[in-house]
Amino acid sequence: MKLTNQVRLYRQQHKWTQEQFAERIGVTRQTVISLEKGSYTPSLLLAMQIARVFDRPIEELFQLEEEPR
Amino acid sequence: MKRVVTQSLLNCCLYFLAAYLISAIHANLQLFQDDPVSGTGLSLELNLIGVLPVLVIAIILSIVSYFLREDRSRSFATAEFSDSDEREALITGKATRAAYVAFMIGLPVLMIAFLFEQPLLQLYPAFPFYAIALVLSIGTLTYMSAWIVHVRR
Repeated sequence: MKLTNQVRLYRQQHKWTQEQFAERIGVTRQTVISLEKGSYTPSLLLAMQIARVFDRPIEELFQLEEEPR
Repeated sequence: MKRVVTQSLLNCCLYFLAAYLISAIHANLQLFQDDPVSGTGLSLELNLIGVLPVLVIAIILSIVSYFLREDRSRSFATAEFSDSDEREALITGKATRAAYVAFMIGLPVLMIAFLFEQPLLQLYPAFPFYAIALVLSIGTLTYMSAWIVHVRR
């Protein structure tokens, strides 16, 4: 199972830079970069914080995907 | 990342400076126990030309290390334990685990080296101090390398 996200898409829609977005959710810019690349899986707390910042339901931002065997 | 690398390298420098200082003290320290001439006590003579620059460098490195810290109110929160967000805290955890494994391997190797203590002490009287500094440095450098690997993923 792999967690994919639409964070980059929503951030770009809000016209926020990675730095501005990082400040809003209280993480470093490097964490935003890793998050958007999909190399970092956020905690439930951070995921909910992101959903709150975008004012979207969490399942719209994060999806669980089956990894190909 | 720069903070972690700088602090780790500073720590390694401090270990070897400490080894140098303590070995200098060890080489010059004389303990008297009911000596007919000197009585009971100790005597220590140090060459300031050798020791003073090392002390100054150690103090400068400690000051640099203090200013690298994010949270200066926490006495043991050195800069290499970077945890400004949950990802950094996770990376710090993984790097600490790698350093722990390095100690688990490094210390038994050091114990084996101590089997040859006598000939080594004759060749290098300060061998135990530098050996400990080396093991500490291996742990610290492993921590630093693991941090770099995980942060770049």
